[in-house]
Amino acid sequence: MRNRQEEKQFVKRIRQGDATAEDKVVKYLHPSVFLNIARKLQGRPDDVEALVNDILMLVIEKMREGRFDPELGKLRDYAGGIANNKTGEYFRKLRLDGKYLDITSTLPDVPLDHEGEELIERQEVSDHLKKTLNGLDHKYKKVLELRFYREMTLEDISAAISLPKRRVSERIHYAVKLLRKKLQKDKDFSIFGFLLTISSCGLRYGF
Amino acid sequence: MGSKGGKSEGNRSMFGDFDDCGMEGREDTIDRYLLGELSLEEINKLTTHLLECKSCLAELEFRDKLKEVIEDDGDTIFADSARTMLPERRRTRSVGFVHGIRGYVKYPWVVAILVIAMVTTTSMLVFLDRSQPVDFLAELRLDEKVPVPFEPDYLSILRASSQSQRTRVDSLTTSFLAAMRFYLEMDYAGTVQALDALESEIEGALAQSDSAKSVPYMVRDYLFFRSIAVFANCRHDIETRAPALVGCLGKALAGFQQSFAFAEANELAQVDGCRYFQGLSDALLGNRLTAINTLEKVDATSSFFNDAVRLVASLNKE
Repeated sequence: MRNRQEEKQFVKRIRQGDATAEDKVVKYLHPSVFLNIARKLQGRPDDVEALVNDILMLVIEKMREGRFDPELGKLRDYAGGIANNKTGEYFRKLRLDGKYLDITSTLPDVPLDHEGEELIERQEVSDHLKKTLNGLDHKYKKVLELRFYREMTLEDISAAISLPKRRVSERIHYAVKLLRKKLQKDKDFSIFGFLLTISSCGLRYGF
Repeated sequence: MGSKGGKSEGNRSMFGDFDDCGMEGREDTIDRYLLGELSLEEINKLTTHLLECKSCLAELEFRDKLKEVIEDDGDTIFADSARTMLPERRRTRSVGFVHGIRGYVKYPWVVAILVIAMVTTTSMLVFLDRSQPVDFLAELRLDEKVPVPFEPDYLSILRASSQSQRTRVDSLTTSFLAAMRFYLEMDYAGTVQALDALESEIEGALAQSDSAKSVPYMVRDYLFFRSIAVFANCRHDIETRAPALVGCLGKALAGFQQSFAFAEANELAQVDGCRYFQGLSDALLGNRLTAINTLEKVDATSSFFNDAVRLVASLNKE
């Protein structure tokens, strides 16, 4: 689902009772919801699947009722909000049942507001990734575009750029690897730069 | 999707190199999961593994982030690459040729030079032949009017229908023909607006009046002309190969497909040119094989048949 227009079409189809559209939305949202829940429920893997399914069902129900408005935000973010509420509910229930020990209470000086920091960090990562993607060699950029932006299958890409399917797959993975390497290099460089600045300051002021 | 290596702690940093847990085709499977290509059963298998394998979870996290960035900013990131949608040239494998021929020929280098000379000449000829790419913009011929192939019975059926239906359908026809007037004046943006205003009215008429035989024709024509107008509105994007082209042509293509499917389902004749424009949209979107496949199905009686044959020949050259 690349844009608001496409999301609107899916909302319309789901409101008309189109089961294929529901299936597509579930499959589209599954990875992001799963990642969200898997991160939060570390140490409780048995409950992840059930919670993910609950959240996805709730999103679909709300879409059927017309309570999701694509004009107000992305579907992915909407599902993220529902996931946060559901996870909160899950932990509240565990606390009431006496099955959940709040380990943060045993840690000293733990900052309470992690979400804001996380949001800023994620935004920084996005900006950085975007910049690195822009600097990628054309042939790698092209396969990433076809696979992740135009959402073409490996077979279609293979036919479109006249490369065997296996080569297309290898090229995509190499492109992702290259991206990750560049990001890691930039990250190391920024840490190195930071340390260099600190040490030069230290030398200048004699400590 | 079998895992060979079992659990792996891996590297949890989003940027770090992730340990390979040994899962077969790990990256492909994760990409297919992110793009909604896995079945629910496959999703369950994968997520069970992901909960055990932190390395794969980190791989998913990175790729998900990448997909999100591409989804949000793809328009700007790939703005320049929209220019090059044509296939890459095939490479020929020559390694080991001279070595392999040594056992059969006394002077392999002479043969090799001769072969190289032949290959060079042929490739130059092929290159000269390919140096004239398809001018898609000329193919559109949007400075000419695309003929309006109204169903001949369209209005006569309307005249024959009962008085009460006629009043309702008549007003719809009047609005539809008014929209067509924009089309004939080549005001494509106006056509889209006028047809959009008719959308709910047409849907309503189709749902309510089974006996008004002109409505299905109108729906078919509505879908076709709306797509043609959307297509025409893409002109600027086609000229500049702007990123918006993909979305714009995608909409037009979907409309042609709908019109085609609707006519088929209702056993109506196809609008002349529907297949041709479908193929043309696919060609512009870079779906070469689909385009060729569609264009080859253009009926020999269609007024677009010769255009389709010419376009297929150009696409086959690429």
